[in-house]
Amino acid sequence: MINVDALYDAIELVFTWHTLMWIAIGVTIGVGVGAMPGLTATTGIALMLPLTFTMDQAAALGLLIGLYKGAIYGGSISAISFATPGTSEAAATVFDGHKLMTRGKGKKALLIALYASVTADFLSDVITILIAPMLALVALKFGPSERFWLMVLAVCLLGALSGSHFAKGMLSAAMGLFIGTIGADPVSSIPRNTFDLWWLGEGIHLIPLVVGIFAMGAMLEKIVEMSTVKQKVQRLGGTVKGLFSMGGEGLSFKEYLSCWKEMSIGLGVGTFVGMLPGLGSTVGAFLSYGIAKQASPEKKIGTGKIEGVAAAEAGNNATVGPTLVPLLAFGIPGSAVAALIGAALMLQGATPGPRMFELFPTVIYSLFLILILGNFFNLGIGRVFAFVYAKLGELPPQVLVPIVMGMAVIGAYSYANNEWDVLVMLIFGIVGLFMRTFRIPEAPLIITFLLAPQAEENLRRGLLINEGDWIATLMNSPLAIGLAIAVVALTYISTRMRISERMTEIADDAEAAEAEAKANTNS
Amino acid sequence: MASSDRSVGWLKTNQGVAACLVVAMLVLLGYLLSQDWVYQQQRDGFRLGFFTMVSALVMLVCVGFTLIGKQKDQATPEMARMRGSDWLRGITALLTMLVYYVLAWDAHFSQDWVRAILEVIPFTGDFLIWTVVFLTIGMVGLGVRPITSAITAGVVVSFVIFGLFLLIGIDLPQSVFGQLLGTSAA
Repeated sequence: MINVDALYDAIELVFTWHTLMWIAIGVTIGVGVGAMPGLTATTGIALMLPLTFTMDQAAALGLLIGLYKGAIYGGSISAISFATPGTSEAAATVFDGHKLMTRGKGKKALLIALYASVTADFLSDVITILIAPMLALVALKFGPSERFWLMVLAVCLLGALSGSHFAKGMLSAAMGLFIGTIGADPVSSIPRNTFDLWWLGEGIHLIPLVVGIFAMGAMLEKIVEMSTVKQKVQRLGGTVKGLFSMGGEGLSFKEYLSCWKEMSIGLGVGTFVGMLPGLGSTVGAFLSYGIAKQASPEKKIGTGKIEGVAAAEAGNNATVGPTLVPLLAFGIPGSAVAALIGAALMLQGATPGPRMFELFPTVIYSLFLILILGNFFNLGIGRVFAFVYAKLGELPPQVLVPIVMGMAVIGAYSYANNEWDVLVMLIFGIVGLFMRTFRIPEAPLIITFLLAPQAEENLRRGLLINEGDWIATLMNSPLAIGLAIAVVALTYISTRMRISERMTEIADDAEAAEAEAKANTNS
Repeated sequence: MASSDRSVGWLKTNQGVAACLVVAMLVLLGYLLSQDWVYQQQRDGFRLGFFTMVSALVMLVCVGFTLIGKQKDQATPEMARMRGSDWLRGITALLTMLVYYVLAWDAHFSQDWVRAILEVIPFTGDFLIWTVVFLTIGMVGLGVRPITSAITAGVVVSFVIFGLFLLIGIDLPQSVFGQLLGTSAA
């Protein structure tokens, strides 16, 4: 049921110069972040998250969602221009995109990447808007024990699907739970797990944790890379300059329509993958690309075809909206970015979850409107400034790294004006470097950290209702028993079938694609 | 993609790293078991240390699986190419950031000895000056040449960051430049 008053309020909030400006700023920064190798959507959002504390809800959502949409598309710019995907999501775009570039059809490749991204993103947002409220209605019927088991199931799914190793995924989740228990317990506010350090009494704040793990970890890895691997940006002389010159070969409407099949595959795959916790846009892009290639062998995708670019870009951008579905419907973030957007909502006083549709309908409608509007900004900004962004791919990491590090310090401190937060951020920076080096996925840590207090609250509420009886608390309905069985089955299947290893093969394809494209460019 | 190259030392393999983590986890578990709050029972019958102990045990089990799992002899490519000096480089970068933060924000972490040192250093608590210094040193340290380019980039970027945060309404330490710009009374 649509709450007309809330919708009207949301329209008034979103269609102001202030909010529209922040969406535009978000997309502008996002495309730049995506275009620069070494920066990802998650890093960008982690760095921008502290700034949203001073903004109103609509502006904060505009900045973050705009940034996310822009970054997922932006990765294709450097993938096509330099065969160096700005983000891992764009690695599948290298296959055909860079071949088109070397044939002098870079403008065509960039345009189909933009149009396929925006088309799939827009349609998947519509699906998100239709599905999320329906799922939230189902979620509202869940009691504390069902919610507890759902969170455990989500964490197991994250462990199974993210990273190369189920044990490493679960290790990350357990680390998040451990860090989440530092500080006062959420029910009786008694300090615990503080290692006798007074400044840990309030617990670990989300912002320094996120900035440390994502932004600092990535920058420290970059510093190490710079010392071990010789960085070299592949320059193609005047080709990049010619991308958006008047004489370049553009994209006709007929050519755009000819990619409908690949965009549909991308939309379907991306939407499904986006809704599942742990998979993410890289898997969406590679699955979509692989299916499109098999579905139309006559199109010879992989030899420099716009259809290949369309499939990959539609596949990754179609995950953007749906990744918010588990967050909005169940209060469980399915990806690191969803966790960060959930954190932004929490900073604004709106806890994500099924009750959000009742308690904060204006925020929900604002979010939906921004999801849709962001696509138009992405289209306009991506179309006009793609050449400028292509130049950003040439920005040396030696300049980029100190700037991001400086921003990380400002972000960690500004959130609560707490000097210990900076120290916490730096400590988690080295933890982030270790996780990246040992290939422990970061997303389960952040998501479990966010879920830990909710899981504890639900469990303890259940214990109170059932007078301390654990069995009655955990197995009080057929649904709770079903979810518990699903957790056990998923853990068993994950360890036996090695799902995570298969997911790694997809990630390895990304590395192979990058290496192949670079080799081609060098030759 | 994992590497099983024999030239990679054992300590860098999944098994080697997991062995170190097992030791760390056992120390952590030992510490937790010695803490009173872990056993403290609440009115709802819940023990305060339940989730902490569960997380520590799950960490130990996961690390144990990594220790004996099928990929135990493999090393991640990143771990394989990491040298001790790389870890040192990372820690140096973090310490540089800490020094930058202490100087630019005049942060003393409630420590008298830090406060005493900061009193003798000029321009502490001046965001712009120390950000220019930090960015320039960072860029030069990472290999930006010529040095004048690093200085120029450091100055330009510092002023851009300062201006942006001023516009957003986030307070940054200002002092000398703040007084010149009329944005601070400090």
